[in-house]
Amino acid sequence: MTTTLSSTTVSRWSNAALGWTAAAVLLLVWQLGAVSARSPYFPPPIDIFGNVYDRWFSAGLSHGILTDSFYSDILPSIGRLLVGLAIAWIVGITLGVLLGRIPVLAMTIEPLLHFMRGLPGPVLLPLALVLVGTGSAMRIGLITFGAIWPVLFNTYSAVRQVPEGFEDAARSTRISRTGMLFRVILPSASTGIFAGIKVSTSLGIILLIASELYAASDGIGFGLSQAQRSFEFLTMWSYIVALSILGYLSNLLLVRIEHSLLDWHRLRMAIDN
Amino acid sequence: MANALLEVDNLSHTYHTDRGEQRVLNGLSFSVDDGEFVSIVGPSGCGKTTLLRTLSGLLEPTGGTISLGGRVIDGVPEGLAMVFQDYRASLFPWRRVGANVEFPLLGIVGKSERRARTAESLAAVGLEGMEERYPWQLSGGMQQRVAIARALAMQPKLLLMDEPFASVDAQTRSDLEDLLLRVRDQYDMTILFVTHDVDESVYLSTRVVSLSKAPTVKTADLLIPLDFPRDQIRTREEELFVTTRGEVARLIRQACPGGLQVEV
Amino acid sequence: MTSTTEITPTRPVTPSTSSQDRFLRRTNLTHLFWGTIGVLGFLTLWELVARLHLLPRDALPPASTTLARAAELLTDPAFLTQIGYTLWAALVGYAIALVIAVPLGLLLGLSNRLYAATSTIVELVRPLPPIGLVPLLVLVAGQGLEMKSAVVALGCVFPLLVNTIHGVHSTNGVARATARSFGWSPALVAYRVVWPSAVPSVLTGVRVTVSIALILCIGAEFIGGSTTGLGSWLLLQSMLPQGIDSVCAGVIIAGLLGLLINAIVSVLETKYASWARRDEG
Repeated sequence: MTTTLSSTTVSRWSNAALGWTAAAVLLLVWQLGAVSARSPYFPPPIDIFGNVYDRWFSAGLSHGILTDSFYSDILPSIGRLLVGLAIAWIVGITLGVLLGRIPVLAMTIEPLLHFMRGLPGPVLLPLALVLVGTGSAMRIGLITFGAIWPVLFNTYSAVRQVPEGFEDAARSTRISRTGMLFRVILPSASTGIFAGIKVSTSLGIILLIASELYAASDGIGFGLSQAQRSFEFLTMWSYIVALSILGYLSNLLLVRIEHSLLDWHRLRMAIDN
Repeated sequence: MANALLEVDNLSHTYHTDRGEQRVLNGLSFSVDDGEFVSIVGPSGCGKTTLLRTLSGLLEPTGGTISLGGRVIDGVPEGLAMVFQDYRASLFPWRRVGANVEFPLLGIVGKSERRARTAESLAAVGLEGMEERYPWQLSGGMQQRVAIARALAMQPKLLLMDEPFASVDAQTRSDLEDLLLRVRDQYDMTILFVTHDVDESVYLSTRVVSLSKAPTVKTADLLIPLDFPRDQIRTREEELFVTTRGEVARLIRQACPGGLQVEV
Repeated sequence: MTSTTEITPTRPVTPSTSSQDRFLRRTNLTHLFWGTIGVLGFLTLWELVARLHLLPRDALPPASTTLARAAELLTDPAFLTQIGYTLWAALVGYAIALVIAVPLGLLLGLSNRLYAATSTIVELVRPLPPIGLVPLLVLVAGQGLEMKSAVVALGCVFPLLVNTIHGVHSTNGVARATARSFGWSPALVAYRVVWPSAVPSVLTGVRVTVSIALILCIGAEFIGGSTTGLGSWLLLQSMLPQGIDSVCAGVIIAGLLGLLINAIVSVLETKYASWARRDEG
C-alpha cells in the first residue's frame, strides 16, 4: 500500500488540519464569489447555512435542537431509508449466502440477477407506482430493490471466497450447520459483506431522493421539488446541504461501525502489507 | 496385540473430474494402535492429503473402510482432532487465540470448563497467557502451536497432523517437534503424522508407513527401533537413526519408478 | 479516501482453495445449462403470473407481450434515436469526468501535500447524490444536454478520482525509487513508472463508472423531465394510457443496454490490463 504517507500521529493531525483549512479556504472563496456575483442561482454559503440552521436546528437545547420542520421534512426520509436498507440487507445477505453455498442455485439465478441489477432505478418508478401505489411502500420498495444488489453480490462473492481451510478446520470439530454458517462463513465473509453494505447505503440514498422527487408528499426530495417549483433557490440549496449531511453522516456511522466490528481485518492486513 | 485404535482396510479413492477419472488411493491397509506415533511418508503426488482427508472424515472414500475405536466412520468421527499445514487458513483471524482454542468446545462444554481447558492447552504448548492476542500477531511457529492447542482442547483419542511443520523455518521446526513429543508424553496421545521430511518422520515416530506415488499403495511399514526420550542432537547422531532414515529414504526413492505425473 | 465501489477487499494470500475455485472449475457448459434454465423458468413464471391475473393487468403485462413490444421498439428508428440521445449525453458527461478526474487523480496521488489538503473537501462533497442536484440543474441549465451531462459528470468524477489515486498510491515504491535513482525527473518517473502501474486501477474505475453513467443519464432524463433520450421516452410512455407495455419493454431494453456496455468495457479491460485483474470475484 502507500508507503509515502507518514503514519505518525503528528502527521495525521497535521494532514487533517491541512484538509480542514483547505475546505475553509474554499468556503471563503465561494462566499466572496457568490456575494460579488449576486446570482440568484448561487446564494452565498453563509446564507445557505444560516437557512439550514434556522429551518431545522434552531429549536434550542431545551427543545432538543431539532425544529418541527425537521420532523416533517427530514425525518420521513430517514425513516424510509432505514426501513428500505434494513430489508435490503436482510434479504440480500440471506440470498447471497444461499447462492454462495448452493452452486446449482447460483448458476441458475446469476444471469437474471446480473440483468436486474443493471436496471436504472429511477425508471422503475412508474412500475412501482402502478404496482404498489403512491405511499411509503413504493418508496421503500424502490430503495430495497436498488440497494439489495451490492449487498447480495458482495455477500455471494465473499461467501464463495471463504478459504477451504476454514471450513475444513471447522468441520473437523464436528460443528453443526448453523454453527458453520454463523461462526465461520459469515465472519469470514464479513468484510466483503460490509463493503456491500456501504455501497448499498449510497445507492439507497439516491433511490430515496429519486422516488421523493417523482412522487411524494414529504421528505427531502419533496422539499427539493417544491422549492424548484417556486424558484426558491435558497431553500433548494438548503435541501441540497441537508442531503449532503445525510450522506456524510451515514457514511461516517458505517465507517465507525466497521472499525469496531472489523478492526481485526484492518490490523491483520496492515501486518501482512 | 494391543487394541487397534485406527483400522484402515483396503482404502481406495478415485476422483471423478471433467478430465476423467484419477485413481489416487489404491487399496491401502494399515492400523494404528493406542499410544503409537505413526508417520506417513511418501513422494509428492502420493495422495497424502487425500489419505488424511478420508481418515478425518472430511472426504468420503470411494472404496474400503476406516474404523476408529472399532466403529466404521461416517463423516467426521468423535475423538479425532486435526492440525493442518497452513495455519493462516485454519486459525480464525477474527477470533483471539483463546477463542480459537475453545472453538471446538462451543456448545459442548460450559464457559468455565472451556476457559479451564483453554488455559491448560495453551500452557501445554508453552503459550500461557496468550489468550487475548490475535493469531496473526504471533509468529508462524506460535500460530502452529495455537493450532495444536486447539486440537488438544478437544482431548482427542487420535491426533491427525498434515505436514504441520512444513511452513516454518528449521529452528522452529526442531522446537515444535520436541514440543509434540512432550505433549504426547503428557497426554499419552496417539498421533498420525503426515510428512515429506524423512528425518522428521524417523525422529518423531514409533512406526513409519511409506507410500508410493499415485495410484498409491503402501510400500513398507517400518518399526522405528529408537528409544524415547529423543534428543535433537544425540538421537540424530545414533547409528540406528542414520541407518533407519537411509532405509526410509530408499523406500521413498524406489516408490517413484517412472515418475508418474498425477494431480491430487 | 476509500477505494472503489464494489471491489471486495483484498483477501490474504493463502495457498488454500475456496468454494469459488471449485465452482469455477465446473465447465462452462454446466453454467450455461443452468443459466438458461433459470432465464426460461423466470420468463415462464412471469407469463403465468400475468396470464392468471395474479397481478393487475395495468401493472404487469405478460412476458410475451413485453418481449414482442421490445422487439418492435428495437426496430423503430424513432426509439433508437432516443437511445442515441441518451448515449451521447452520457458520453459527453463521462468525457468531462475523465478529463477532470484522471489528471487530478494523478496529481493528488503523487503529491501527499495536495492529497491531504483536498481529502476533507472530497469527503464532504462526495456523499451528495447527483440526482439531488437535478432540480437545481434544471433551473440553471435547462432540461437538455447540458443538464444531463452535468449530472453524469458529477456522478462519475468521484469514483474515477478515487480509483486513479488508488492506482497511483499502489505503485511499487521500489520501482519508483529505482527510477529516480536513474536521475529521472519526477515528471518522467510519473510518465514511465507511475502511470502504467496505475492504469489497471483506472480501468477498473472506468468499468464501474460506465454503468453509473448510463443509469444516471436515464435517471436525470426521467426525473428532470427531459424531452430527449430513453429516460424521457419512458416518462412519456408512463403517462399514456396503456403505456405500461412500452414502459416494461423500455426498462428491459435499458437493462440489456447496460449489460452490453458493461460487457464491451470488460472486454477492453481484459485486453489492456488482464495481467492486473486480481481481486475480481
